Amino acid sequence: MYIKRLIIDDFGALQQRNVTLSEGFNLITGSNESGKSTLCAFIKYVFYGFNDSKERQRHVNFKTMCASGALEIEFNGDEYLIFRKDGEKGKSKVTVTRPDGSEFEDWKQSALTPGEYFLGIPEKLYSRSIYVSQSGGAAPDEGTATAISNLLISGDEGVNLRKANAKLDDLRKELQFKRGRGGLIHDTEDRIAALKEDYESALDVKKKCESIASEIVDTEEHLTELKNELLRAQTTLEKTKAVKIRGYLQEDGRLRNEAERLSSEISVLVERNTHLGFCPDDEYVAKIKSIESEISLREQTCDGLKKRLLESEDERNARIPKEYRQFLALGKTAGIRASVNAFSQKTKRFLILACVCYLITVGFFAAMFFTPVFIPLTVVALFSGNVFAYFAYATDKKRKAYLRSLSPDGLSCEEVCAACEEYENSRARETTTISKAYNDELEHLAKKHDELEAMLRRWNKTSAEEVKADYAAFSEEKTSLYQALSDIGNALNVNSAHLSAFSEVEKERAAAFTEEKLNLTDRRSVSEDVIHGLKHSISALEDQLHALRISLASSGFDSVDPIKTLCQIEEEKKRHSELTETFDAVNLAISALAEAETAVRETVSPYLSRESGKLFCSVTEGRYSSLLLDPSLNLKYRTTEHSALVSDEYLSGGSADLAWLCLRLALHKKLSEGRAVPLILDECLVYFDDVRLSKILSLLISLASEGTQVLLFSASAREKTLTGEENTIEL
Amino acid sequence: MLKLLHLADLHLDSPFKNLSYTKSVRLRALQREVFSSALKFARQQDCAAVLISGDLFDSEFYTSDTVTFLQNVFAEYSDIRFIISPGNHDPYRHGSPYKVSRFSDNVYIFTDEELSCLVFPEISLNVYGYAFTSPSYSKDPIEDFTAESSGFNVLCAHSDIDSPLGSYAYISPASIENSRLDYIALGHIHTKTAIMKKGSTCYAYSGCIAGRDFSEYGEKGGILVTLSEQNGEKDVKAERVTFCPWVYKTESVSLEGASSQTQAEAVIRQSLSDDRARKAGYEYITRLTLSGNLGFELDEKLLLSRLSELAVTEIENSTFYFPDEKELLNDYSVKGQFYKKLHSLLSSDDPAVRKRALTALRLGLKALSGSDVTIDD
Repeated sequence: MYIKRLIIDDFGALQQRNVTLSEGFNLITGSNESGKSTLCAFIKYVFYGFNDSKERQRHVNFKTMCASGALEIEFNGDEYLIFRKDGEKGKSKVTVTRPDGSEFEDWKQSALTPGEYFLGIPEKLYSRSIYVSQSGGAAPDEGTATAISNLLISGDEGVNLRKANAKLDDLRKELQFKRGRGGLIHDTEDRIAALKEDYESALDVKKKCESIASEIVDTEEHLTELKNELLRAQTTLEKTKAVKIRGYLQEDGRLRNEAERLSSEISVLVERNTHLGFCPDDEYVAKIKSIESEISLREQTCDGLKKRLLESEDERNARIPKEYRQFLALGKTAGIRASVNAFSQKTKRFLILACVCYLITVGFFAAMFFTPVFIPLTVVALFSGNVFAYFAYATDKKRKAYLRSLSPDGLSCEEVCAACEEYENSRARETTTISKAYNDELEHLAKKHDELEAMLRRWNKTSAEEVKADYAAFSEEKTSLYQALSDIGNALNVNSAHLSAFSEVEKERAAAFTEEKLNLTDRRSVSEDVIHGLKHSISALEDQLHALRISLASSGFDSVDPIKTLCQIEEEKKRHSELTETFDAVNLAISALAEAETAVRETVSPYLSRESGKLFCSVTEGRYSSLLLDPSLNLKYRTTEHSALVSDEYLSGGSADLAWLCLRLALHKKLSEGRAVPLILDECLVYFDDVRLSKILSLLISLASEGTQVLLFSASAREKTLTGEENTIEL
Repeated sequence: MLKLLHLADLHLDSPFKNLSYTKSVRLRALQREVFSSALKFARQQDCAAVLISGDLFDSEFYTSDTVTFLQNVFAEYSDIRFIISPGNHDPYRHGSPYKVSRFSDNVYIFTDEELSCLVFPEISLNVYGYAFTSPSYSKDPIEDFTAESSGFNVLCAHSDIDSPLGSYAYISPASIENSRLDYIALGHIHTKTAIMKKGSTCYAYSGCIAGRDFSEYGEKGGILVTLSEQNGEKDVKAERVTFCPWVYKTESVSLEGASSQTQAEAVIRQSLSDDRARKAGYEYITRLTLSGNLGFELDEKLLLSRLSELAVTEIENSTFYFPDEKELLNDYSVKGQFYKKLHSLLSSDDPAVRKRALTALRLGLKALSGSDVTIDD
């Protein structure tokens, strides 16, 4: 296939321009901005259209904002016109027609772009194969050496397989480090594990809380049962109390009524007995009784006094103690006193006598010494005196002994005498006293009799017995009534004491109960102890319940949401799945790339290396024999001279460009296998010297002669000089 | 005549763990709203009782909010008797919400595995039932049982009648027939069934009251049971009723020939609006299964966000896409070789394999183009 003519309607700066090309070598020259690159772009445009809006923007006519044009081509011996137009609104229209204007149906049905159909190359390959710009143009940031290396390794100067593998490997590492440790996948797994732990703990908390809640419910039920039981017990107790209280109140009422009735009877009784104007009361009767008993006593006293007055000596003496009676039987006290006095006088005499005698004795002895005459007188006086004294003493001694035998209690005579005298005196006084007392008594007695009589007359009775009988009857009745009243009073007190044991509130409640409600169905005995026990149990349960509720509140139940954690786990699992899928895809890509690289190195690379080496050798006049990659994928050049492998670092820039061009030409040759595909070179020979330029041009011309249409665009005059006018198209 | 509302498998407080937490909270709230709608219906129909045949709660995930909601709603409908048979997901045991929570007097909960009876002489109704006290129940709960009481005899049962060897209170057909019950309100199977009859006993699964995911598709609700007696003959009528305003549905859409994301979206919208199975008044929560060969890589996330207003919540992408197939297959360079290595995987019948190959291709091409590759790619 070759391009016969370029028909430009509107494209970039070119308008209404036609360029006719030959089948072989075509040199299109022109100064800068004459449209050479525009023509290159136009060719691609007609074959493939605009790639994107940026490219469109760059190449549409600035005024019309349109691009249109056609290529006249010859394909498999037939001519076709490929027309393409891009309007203002971006719509692209392309037609392929025969010279007669009919549409080329084959192409139309193929749904391929004209470039894909006629060139057999997708658009993306076009720039890497048919169209050759300045060296490194496809990978301006990579440099020529890299472009060559890429070509040899991957068959595409823009494809750096090493970097691609490195990028994929980086991604794989990012996803998962070696041996499964680290990386995003591992991080996700860690997160899932942590979330699962959180989930389990949340479930544990939830279960614990449910358990606590269940316990709370059980406890509340139990508490309710106890409270109901307490209520029943309290009600029973209250009812029991109420029954008691009501009983007491009823009794109280009954007693009060009875008391009132009795009081009324008493009043009636008193009223009945007051018709006399006088109602003897207890005091009156008591006074009568008192007077009577006083009268009785006084009479007794009088009798007694009288008796005493009339009693005989013996009867009097009978009141004297026996011991004194014996003593008194000896005589009157006066005689005894006289005896005692006499004894006393005798005693005095004796003493006087004894003194005289002794004086005489003393006088004797005195006289003896001074007057011996007086000695016989003295002796006689002395003797007489002693004898007299002796008799007096003996008589007195007998009397004393005798008196001593009579005296009671060991008292002395004087004491006995004094006692006897006292008795006699007292006897006299006593008689006087008794008489006086007797008279007094009689007087009092009379008064009392008068008083009694007055009191009796007052009751209109003649005798105290009658009063007493009347009063007794009245009193008995009244006493009976008062007794009854008293009994009732006591009963009331007892009842009140019972009632006072209950509070006013209890009494009010008891009063509020109806008879129906007081019908106790629960006949169990309920005591305060039972109620106290229940209250204690309730209190304990309430404490337990409170503790449980605190435990539940502090368990963090409300803040725990296992479902949220579960959702997070699923999200992480999705993420894990996605990352794992990406990881698998990366691994697949890496392995596919490795296989692709092997395939390329087994097919394309050796061909490129070989063919480019031939061209390179030819152009360098045999200086270099081949281009190849060492095991480390570094580019090497084999020199003819030494057959040594030289690193590309030692290659000059021009030689490197040449090597790259040879590779591109080799690539074009590979691509053209089985079909003729044009070769478009755009200003790619500028760096070569004249010699090499000449060589390359020869090569290109040779290529053209073999059936490949070559379109060389150049601003330089050297190519024109070297190739001649006949192949040159001036823009 | 006596009306009963048969509900089951509400699974209140299901975690909806596959959704975001916010959506989970919203859906749980919606579940409660559906239940409220059901009760409102029961009142409108003058139902004497609501039978809940198990799984009112979704096991251990019940929240205090839901318990409070139930307490309030049961008390609000104090004129209706609520009879509950705890199921395998909410067994009556220590820590169960039935145990730790107090409900109003119109709520009756079976608490024992042994069959027992609730008698309501004022409405001539005898409700038999039993409770799961653990996640499994190994015996036939009504084996050798025959209802002999006068009035209407109804069984509220959480049971799997299709799995004789299962652990979910299997009730045999013979037991059903011998029971001579008037109606058996079944729960456990989330898919509603037709009203079946064995002997004189009618029985049915009401299905769950609201779908929770795509496995519970279709309309959901309960059964309105009408019991009547005439001339000594009992009659049982059962009518399906729906309360849930949303329905889970899976739609398949072919995107064959779609050349862009926008075009694909338009095809989907058209398909959803054309669907004759959609009924007015329902919100269809849709899972889209997409198929076909595409000339572009479908952005599922973008599509999902754009279709969210149509309640499309999931997309199963079974489309085929061969990016730059023409040029890459013809590419002699490592790109072309790379593409060829992945091409067979891109054609796999397994969507997961296709997806992995497409991701590998995208990452590889991006890396080959010199750009950095990141997780987001």
